[in-house]
Order: sequence, then C-alpha cells, then structure tokens
Amino acid sequence: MININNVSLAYTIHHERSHSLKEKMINLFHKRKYVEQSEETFWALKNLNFSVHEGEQFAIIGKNGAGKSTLLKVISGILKPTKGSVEVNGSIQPLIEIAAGFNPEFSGRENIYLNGYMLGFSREQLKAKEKEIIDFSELENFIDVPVKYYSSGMSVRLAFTIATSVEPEILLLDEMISAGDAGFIKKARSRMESLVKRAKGVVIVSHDLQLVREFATRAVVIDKGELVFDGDPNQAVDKYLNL
Amino acid sequence: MYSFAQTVKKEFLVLYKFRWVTYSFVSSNLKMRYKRSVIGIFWSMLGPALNYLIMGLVFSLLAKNSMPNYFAYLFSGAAFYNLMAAVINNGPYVFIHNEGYIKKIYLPKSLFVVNLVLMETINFMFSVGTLLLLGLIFNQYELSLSWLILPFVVLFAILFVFGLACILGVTCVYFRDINHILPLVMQASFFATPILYAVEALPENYQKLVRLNPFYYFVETFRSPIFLGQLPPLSDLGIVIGLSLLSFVIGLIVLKLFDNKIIFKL
Repeated sequence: MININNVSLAYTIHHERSHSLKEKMINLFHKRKYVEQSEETFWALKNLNFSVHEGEQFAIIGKNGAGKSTLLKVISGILKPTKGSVEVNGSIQPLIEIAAGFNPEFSGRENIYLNGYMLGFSREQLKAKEKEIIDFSELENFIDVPVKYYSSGMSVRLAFTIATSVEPEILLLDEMISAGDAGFIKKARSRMESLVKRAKGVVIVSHDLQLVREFATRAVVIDKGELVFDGDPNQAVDKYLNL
Repeated sequence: MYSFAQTVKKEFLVLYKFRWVTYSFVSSNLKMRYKRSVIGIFWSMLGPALNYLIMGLVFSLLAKNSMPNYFAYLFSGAAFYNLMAAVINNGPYVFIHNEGYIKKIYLPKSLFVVNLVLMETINFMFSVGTLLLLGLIFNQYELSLSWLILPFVVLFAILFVFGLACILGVTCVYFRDINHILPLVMQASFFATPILYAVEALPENYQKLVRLNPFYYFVETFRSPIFLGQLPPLSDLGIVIGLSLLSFVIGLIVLKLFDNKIIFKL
C-alpha cells in the first residue's frame, strides 16, 4: 500500500529563522560576510526503503528527533522528499491535531465544515456527519459559538471528533492524540479502536513501547534518519532499547 | 508552453477538488467580517460610498480646476484600485497566516491565494454594485453598452493580482521585510495613479511618468466605460491583458518552484 523508495529529506537549518533583506543586500555588496552565514543542511531522513502492506499495523519507533514524525509527514504528502519517491495506493489520512487548524473566530459548526472539507469530505458527506460530530463532542448548545469562547476541553473534544471522522484506507497516527476529560477519554478510545479496525492499514508513530508490542504486526526502528531495524515488533522494541 | 498549459490545467483540477474548502473559508470569513454589526453586509456597500463621498468633498474643495461628475470619476477609479490594493496588501501574509494548515495537512498552496482573491472580489462586487447604482440614480453618468467590457477588465485585474500575491506570499516567507515595505509602496502607488486627479491635470513630462505605472492602465480601462461611456483605447486594454497574463504566468511559476520549500521556512 505504501512504498518508500530511497527516500531522503533535507532540512536547511537557519539559526536565525527570518533572514532580513538587509543582510542579503549587505552580503551582496561586501566581499566579507556581514552576518555569519548560518545555513547548514540536515538530513532528517537518509535513504529509507520499506513497504507497508495491506492489513499491516505498522509501527515506527525511534528516539526523539530520529525523524519519525518527519517520515509520517512525508508519507502523508505534507513534505516532499528531497530524494527518492513515495508511492501510496489508497486514500490516506493523517490523524492530526486539528485544533491548530481551527479558526478561533469561526463557530464550531463552521470549523467542522472548513476542516471537514480540508480532510477531503464532500458536502453531502459532511451534512451526514455533522450531527454525529456534534453529538459525540457533546457540544449541542455551543456549536454556533465562535471556537475562541470554548474551554480547552471543548475544543479538544471537537478537534478529536473531527479528526477521527475520517475513514481512510490507510490511517496515520502520530502518538496518541489528546482527548480531554476522563469520561470522554473512554469514549474516545473506543472510537479510535473502531477507526483502526475499519482501516486497511495503519501506520503509527509512538513512544509507548507496550502499545507497539501489543498493537503492531510489524515495526521499524529509525535512528538519526536511518532505518536500523525492520521486522518483528518485539525485536524492534528490544533493538530500540539498546540504541 | 505546452508544459505550462498542463501545469495550469492540473492546478485548476486540484483547486476544483478543494472547491468546498474555498467556499466555506470565504463564506465564513465574509459572515465573520460583518457578524456583530447591525446592518451587516450593507456596510460593505455603504462604507466605500461614504468614504468616497468624504474624499470627493475634500478634494473637490482643494482642487481648483474641479471637473464635473468628480464623484463618479473618483469612485470608479478608487473602488477598482482598492480591489487590487487589498489583494496586494494581504499578499505577503497569504502563506504566513495559514501556517497552521500548511504544516498539518496537504493543501495546494494556490488555494490560499484563491481564497484571498475571491474574498476581496466579492467585497468589491458589493461595493462597486452599490456605487454604480447610486451614480445612475444621481445622474452622474449613463448606462452604456461599453459597460459590457467591465467584467473582463475585472477578470484581468484578478489574474494580475493573483500573480502578484503568489510572488509576494513566497517572497515574504523568505524575507519578512516585505510586509513593512509594501504598504508604503502601495500608498505611493495610490497617489501615483490618476484616481484623485485626472492625468491631463499633470504637467506633460509627469504624464509620461504615470504611464510607467501598471495601475494606471487598469484604472483607466475600468473607469473609461463608466465615466466616459466609451470603450478604453485598445492600446491600454492590450497593456492590461499583457500585464495580467505576465503576472499570472510568473506568479504561478514562482509558486510551483517554491511549493514544496515554503513549509521549511514557515
């Protein structure tokens, strides 16, 4: 379902993120560099090769900064690899922390539609899902209020529910997305489980080694952007612990 | 050439796929803009009319050789110029302000530019529609067949500012100075464009200078049918079409070149 062929991805790191025009201009006229050119290329992913097959529950593990989330972004198409290619057969959807994509001035309902359309739903599909989303997130009385007046719990519930309304063939999960208060977490867990069950393939990035052992059918270990292990999840966890 | 046509076609297909995102973004934004005001959308009609009335009063008092129907002259140029200026002024922010979306989900970058252009165009339609109607009611000019060209002039202006917004948006991701410089440039270009004054009122050598200003051609072509009731000179129209296509093509090329790079700098 997913083929990763010789994928490498380079970040250009700027120590000062916003380069001003002034510096560039001065650098043009001076032979001597006015500002220390602080660009360096950092390879976040190095020559990765693997495939994810239908029916697999695929885990990616690695230390912080190993490139796990970057890899997930490459698979979902948000980042394009610098070298190599990614082939995906089937609809793919990352389960994202959509709260960052909420427009605080828009009402909950407007955000359902805006985000729903971004996730690729049609108008008819969203109309059908709208009520379910509102019910599940327990926001009946607040749905037409701008999201900026929501408590953090409310916006997390709404974000979670919208994000989990997708029905992709391939599901991408980055850690466990937060789900609000205790009562809601229980509901949220079963919603996640049914989402995972419906998907033909799941790719998960996690630090929760127990979850990887129980959940995954295959796992890869990534270290400093390189693939160091591909195979049985239990062996993968052991390999990771010995890194 | 062939591959560029393919690029445009592909871009349109992608945008068509995401048309509902644009729809909900634009409609929610328009609703939001007037949400807590009593007369809502009427502000977008009334606001500019009152604005031009004030400007008209001040400048017809100041100018010695006041022309007849100065209000019609003023608003037909100013409203159209303001459509272009609104898109251009927001151009630098087109990706920066959408960082949250760009980093979380794959969306075509041109979508954000289209959203901006569409929103300002709809606002313009409301305001210019009202103004045109008011002008007719107060006998400032007469309806003429030459008005049929107006939608096309607007269309070309949209292509022109779309291209500029793409270029500005990409540039501003790399050089955040742009958003400080641009309002000054636009302020200067407003006065350098014959909106408050007629080009004939300028000394001869300045008249030549004005012709270096791209906005001059757009404003003249839009104003001519309304204020004079006649089609703009073909040469002006040609320049408008040329500038629009040039800007659109360059803008799209810049956007495509930096499409996958922008995200690393946001």
